Amino acid sequence: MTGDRDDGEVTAAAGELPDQAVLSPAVIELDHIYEVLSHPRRRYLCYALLEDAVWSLEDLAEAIAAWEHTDGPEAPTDQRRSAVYVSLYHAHVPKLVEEDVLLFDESTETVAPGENAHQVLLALRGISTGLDLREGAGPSSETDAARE
Amino acid sequence: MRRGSDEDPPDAPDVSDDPDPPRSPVAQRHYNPTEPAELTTAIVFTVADAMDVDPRAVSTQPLYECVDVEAVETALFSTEPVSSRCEPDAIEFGYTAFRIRVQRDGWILVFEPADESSPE
Repeated sequence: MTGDRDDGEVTAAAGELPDQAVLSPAVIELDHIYEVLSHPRRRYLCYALLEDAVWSLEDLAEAIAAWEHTDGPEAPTDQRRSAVYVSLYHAHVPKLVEEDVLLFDESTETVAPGENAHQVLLALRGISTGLDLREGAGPSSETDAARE
Repeated sequence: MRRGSDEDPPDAPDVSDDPDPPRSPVAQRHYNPTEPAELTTAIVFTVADAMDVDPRAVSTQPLYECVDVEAVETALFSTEPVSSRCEPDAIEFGYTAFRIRVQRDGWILVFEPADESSPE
Protein backbone atom coordinates (compact mmCIF):
# COMPACT_ATOMS: atom_id res chain seq x y z
CA MET A 1 0.00 0.00 0.00
CA THR A 2 1.08 3.52 -0.67
CA GLY A 3 -0.76 5.17 2.21
CA ASP A 4 0.76 6.68 5.32
CA ARG A 5 1.74 10.01 4.00
CA ASP A 6 1.19 12.34 6.88
CA ASP A 7 3.27 15.31 5.95
CA GLY A 8 0.51 16.80 3.83
CA GLU A 9 2.63 16.92 0.73
CA VAL A 10 0.57 15.67 -2.14
CA THR A 11 3.05 15.12 -4.87
CA ALA A 12 0.63 14.49 -7.64
CA ALA A 13 2.34 13.47 -10.82
CA ALA A 14 1.13 14.98 -14.07
CA GLY A 15 -2.64 15.03 -14.05
CA GLU A 16 -2.86 12.28 -11.52
CA LEU A 17 -5.46 12.84 -8.84
CA PRO A 18 -4.70 11.60 -5.39
CA ASP A 19 -6.88 8.67 -4.56
CA GLN A 20 -9.00 8.54 -1.49
CA ALA A 21 -6.51 6.63 0.53
CA VAL A 22 -4.16 9.60 0.34
CA LEU A 23 -6.72 12.28 1.16
CA SER A 24 -7.20 12.30 4.87
CA PRO A 25 -10.62 13.16 6.25
CA ALA A 26 -9.00 16.26 7.70
CA VAL A 27 -8.47 17.60 4.20
CA ILE A 28 -12.13 17.12 3.39
CA GLU A 29 -13.29 18.72 6.61
CA LEU A 30 -11.87 22.15 6.09
CA ASP A 31 -14.75 24.00 7.72
CA HIS A 32 -13.31 24.09 11.15
CA ILE A 33 -9.94 25.20 9.84
CA TYR A 34 -11.60 28.20 8.21
CA GLU A 35 -13.62 28.81 11.34
CA VAL A 36 -10.53 28.73 13.51
CA LEU A 37 -8.53 30.94 11.18
CA SER A 38 -11.36 33.37 10.41
CA HIS A 39 -10.48 35.77 13.19
CA PRO A 40 -7.21 37.72 13.08
CA ARG A 41 -6.57 37.22 16.76
CA ARG A 42 -6.93 33.47 16.40
CA ARG A 43 -4.48 33.55 13.51
CA TYR A 44 -2.01 35.36 15.74
CA LEU A 45 -2.63 32.77 18.41
CA CYS A 46 -1.86 29.99 15.94
CA TYR A 47 1.26 31.80 14.75
CA ALA A 48 2.34 31.83 18.35
CA LEU A 49 1.94 28.06 18.45
CA LEU A 50 4.21 27.75 15.43
CA GLU A 51 6.85 29.54 17.45
CA ASP A 52 6.41 27.78 20.76
CA ALA A 53 4.21 24.92 21.75
CA VAL A 54 3.36 25.97 25.28
CA TRP A 55 2.38 29.46 26.35
CA SER A 56 1.11 31.05 29.48
CA LEU A 57 -1.97 33.10 28.76
CA GLU A 58 -0.17 36.15 30.09
CA ASP A 59 2.77 35.76 27.68
CA LEU A 60 0.44 34.98 24.82
CA ALA A 61 -1.54 38.16 25.43
CA GLU A 62 1.68 40.11 25.63
CA ALA A 63 2.98 38.66 22.34
CA ILE A 64 -0.28 39.11 20.46
CA ALA A 65 -0.73 42.66 21.74
CA ALA A 66 2.77 43.43 20.46
CA TRP A 67 2.08 41.87 17.05
CA GLU A 68 -1.18 43.75 16.72
CA HIS A 69 0.38 46.98 17.80
CA THR A 70 1.77 48.28 14.55
CA ASP A 71 1.24 52.02 14.95
CA GLY A 72 4.24 53.02 16.99
CA PRO A 73 7.57 51.89 18.37
CA GLU A 74 6.48 52.00 22.00
CA ALA A 75 5.11 48.93 23.71
CA PRO A 76 1.36 48.39 23.83
CA THR A 77 -0.30 49.83 26.90
CA ASP A 78 -1.35 47.68 29.79
CA GLN A 79 -4.93 48.40 28.77
CA ARG A 80 -4.24 46.82 25.35
CA ARG A 81 -2.60 43.76 26.86
CA SER A 82 -5.49 43.46 29.23
CA ALA A 83 -7.99 43.64 26.37
CA VAL A 84 -6.13 40.92 24.47
CA TYR A 85 -5.89 38.74 27.57
CA VAL A 86 -9.61 39.07 28.19
CA SER A 87 -10.55 38.24 24.62
CA LEU A 88 -8.26 35.20 24.68
CA TYR A 89 -9.60 33.89 27.97
CA HIS A 90 -13.27 34.62 27.32
CA ALA A 91 -13.58 33.97 23.59
CA HIS A 92 -10.74 32.64 21.50
CA VAL A 93 -9.08 30.07 23.74
CA PRO A 94 -12.37 28.35 24.67
CA LYS A 95 -13.34 28.33 21.01
CA LEU A 96 -10.06 26.69 20.02
CA VAL A 97 -10.42 24.23 22.88
CA GLU A 98 -13.86 23.33 21.57
CA GLU A 99 -12.32 22.73 18.14
CA ASP A 100 -9.62 20.54 19.72
CA VAL A 101 -6.96 22.89 18.46
CA LEU A 102 -5.84 23.89 21.94
CA LEU A 103 -5.55 22.38 25.35
CA PHE A 104 -6.01 24.81 28.18
CA ASP A 105 -4.80 24.11 31.67
CA GLU A 106 -7.04 26.18 33.89
CA SER A 107 -4.86 25.86 36.99
CA THR A 108 -1.64 27.04 35.36
CA GLU A 109 -3.38 29.17 32.70
CA THR A 110 -1.25 27.69 29.96
CA VAL A 111 -2.21 26.65 26.46
CA ALA A 112 -0.72 23.83 24.42
CA PRO A 113 -1.54 22.34 21.01
CA GLY A 114 -4.53 20.01 20.89
CA GLU A 115 -5.36 17.13 18.60
CA ASN A 116 -6.31 19.28 15.61
CA ALA A 117 -3.52 21.80 15.99
CA HIS A 118 -1.28 20.09 13.48
CA GLN A 119 -3.60 20.44 10.50
CA VAL A 120 -4.57 24.00 11.39
CA LEU A 121 -0.94 25.00 11.69
CA LEU A 122 -0.20 23.24 8.43
CA ALA A 123 -2.94 25.24 6.73
CA LEU A 124 -1.76 28.45 8.33
CA ARG A 125 1.79 27.77 7.23
CA GLY A 126 0.59 27.13 3.69
CA ILE A 127 -1.40 30.36 3.59
CA SER A 128 1.48 32.30 5.12
CA THR A 129 3.90 30.97 2.55
CA GLY A 130 1.54 31.93 -0.23
CA LEU A 131 1.04 35.42 1.15
CA ASP A 132 4.60 36.05 2.22
CA LEU A 133 3.63 36.19 5.89
CA ARG A 134 1.86 39.50 5.67
CA GLU A 135 -0.75 39.10 8.34
CA GLY A 136 -3.21 41.91 8.61
CA ALA A 137 -2.37 43.47 5.28
CA GLY A 138 -5.74 43.74 3.65
CA PRO A 139 -8.29 41.05 3.06
CA SER A 140 -6.64 37.72 2.86
CA SER A 141 -7.13 36.17 -0.51
CA GLU A 142 -7.90 32.56 0.08
CA THR A 143 -5.56 31.22 -2.49
CA ASP A 144 -4.23 27.74 -2.55
CA ALA A 145 -0.87 27.75 -0.99
CA ALA A 146 1.09 28.77 -4.00
CA ARG A 147 3.79 26.40 -4.85
CA GLU A 148 6.28 26.61 -7.60
CA MET B 1 -23.93 59.25 52.74
CA ARG B 2 -22.49 56.17 51.17
CA ARG B 3 -22.86 56.88 47.50
CA GLY B 4 -19.71 58.55 46.29
CA SER B 5 -20.19 57.81 42.65
CA ASP B 6 -20.10 60.65 40.20
CA GLU B 7 -22.41 58.87 37.85
CA ASP B 8 -26.04 59.83 37.65
CA PRO B 9 -27.58 58.76 40.90
CA PRO B 10 -30.32 56.41 39.83
CA ASP B 11 -33.80 56.91 41.19
CA ALA B 12 -33.84 53.89 43.42
CA PRO B 13 -37.30 52.49 43.06
CA ASP B 14 -38.49 50.73 46.18
CA VAL B 15 -41.03 48.58 44.48
CA SER B 16 -40.16 44.96 44.76
CA ASP B 17 -43.41 43.25 43.84
CA ASP B 18 -43.28 44.50 40.31
CA PRO B 19 -42.44 41.47 38.17
CA ASP B 20 -40.19 43.55 35.97
CA PRO B 21 -39.13 46.50 38.06
CA PRO B 22 -37.04 49.26 36.57
CA ARG B 23 -33.49 48.49 37.46
CA SER B 24 -30.39 50.57 37.57
CA PRO B 25 -27.20 49.07 36.27
CA VAL B 26 -24.19 48.73 38.56
CA ALA B 27 -21.93 49.38 35.60
CA GLN B 28 -22.24 50.38 32.01
CA ARG B 29 -19.98 50.91 29.04
CA HIS B 30 -20.56 51.86 25.47
CA TYR B 31 -19.47 49.51 22.73
CA ASN B 32 -18.75 50.80 19.27
CA PRO B 33 -19.05 47.97 16.77
CA THR B 34 -17.08 49.89 14.16
CA GLU B 35 -13.97 49.92 16.33
CA PRO B 36 -11.63 46.96 16.46
CA ALA B 37 -12.25 46.21 20.15
CA GLU B 38 -14.25 43.03 20.55
CA LEU B 39 -17.71 42.82 22.09
CA THR B 40 -16.52 40.06 24.41
CA THR B 41 -13.84 42.35 25.76
CA ALA B 42 -16.28 45.23 26.22
CA ILE B 43 -18.70 43.01 28.15
CA VAL B 44 -16.00 41.60 30.42
CA PHE B 45 -14.59 45.08 31.09
CA THR B 46 -18.07 46.21 32.11
CA VAL B 47 -18.39 43.24 34.46
CA ALA B 48 -14.98 44.14 35.88
CA ASP B 49 -16.29 47.65 36.53
CA ALA B 50 -19.27 46.17 38.33
CA MET B 51 -16.98 43.98 40.46
CA ASP B 52 -14.45 46.78 40.86
CA VAL B 53 -11.59 44.51 39.83
CA ASP B 54 -8.99 44.28 37.07
CA PRO B 55 -10.60 42.80 33.92
CA ARG B 56 -8.11 39.92 34.06
CA ALA B 57 -9.57 38.97 37.42
CA VAL B 58 -12.96 38.22 35.86
CA SER B 59 -12.02 34.59 35.55
CA THR B 60 -14.71 32.53 37.18
CA GLN B 61 -15.90 31.27 33.85
CA PRO B 62 -15.20 32.16 30.21
CA LEU B 63 -18.02 34.23 28.76
CA TYR B 64 -17.87 31.87 25.79
CA GLU B 65 -19.47 29.17 27.91
CA CYS B 66 -22.48 31.36 28.78
CA VAL B 67 -23.44 33.07 25.58
CA ASP B 68 -22.64 33.05 21.90
CA VAL B 69 -21.19 36.54 21.70
CA GLU B 70 -20.72 36.30 17.95
CA ALA B 71 -24.45 35.69 17.60
CA VAL B 72 -25.22 38.66 19.87
CA GLU B 73 -22.92 40.79 17.76
CA THR B 74 -24.63 39.69 14.57
CA ALA B 75 -28.15 40.09 15.94
CA LEU B 76 -27.56 43.59 17.28
CA PHE B 77 -24.82 45.16 15.23
CA SER B 78 -24.75 43.46 11.86
CA THR B 79 -24.30 46.04 9.13
CA GLU B 80 -25.67 43.80 6.47
CA PRO B 81 -28.89 45.11 4.98
CA VAL B 82 -31.81 43.27 6.45
CA SER B 83 -35.33 42.98 5.26
CA SER B 84 -37.22 40.55 7.34
CA ARG B 85 -34.63 39.49 9.84
CA CYS B 86 -35.58 39.57 13.46
CA GLU B 87 -34.01 42.63 15.00
CA PRO B 88 -34.04 42.65 18.78
CA ASP B 89 -33.48 45.96 20.59
CA ALA B 90 -31.47 44.24 23.25
CA ILE B 91 -30.26 40.84 24.36
CA GLU B 92 -29.98 39.82 27.99
CA PHE B 93 -28.21 36.93 29.56
CA GLY B 94 -26.84 35.83 32.88
CA TYR B 95 -23.15 35.71 33.58
CA THR B 96 -21.91 34.57 36.98
CA ALA B 97 -23.93 36.58 39.50
CA PHE B 98 -24.79 39.29 37.02
CA ARG B 99 -27.43 40.02 34.48
CA ILE B 100 -26.00 41.52 31.30
CA ARG B 101 -27.99 43.56 28.83
CA VAL B 102 -26.49 44.50 25.46
CA GLN B 103 -28.50 47.08 23.59
CA ARG B 104 -28.67 47.89 19.91
CA ASP B 105 -27.51 51.43 20.69
CA GLY B 106 -24.24 49.95 21.92
CA TRP B 107 -24.78 50.28 25.65
CA ILE B 108 -23.74 47.33 27.76
CA LEU B 109 -25.50 47.33 31.13
CA VAL B 110 -24.59 45.10 34.04
CA PHE B 111 -27.19 44.45 36.72
CA GLU B 112 -26.92 42.74 40.02
CA PRO B 113 -29.43 40.00 40.66
CA ALA B 114 -32.65 41.59 41.89
CA ASP B 115 -33.27 39.11 44.69
CA GLU B 116 -32.44 39.19 48.38
CA SER B 117 -28.99 40.70 48.09
CA SER B 118 -29.68 43.96 49.92
CA PRO B 119 -33.22 44.51 51.07
CA GLU B 120 -33.63 48.19 51.78
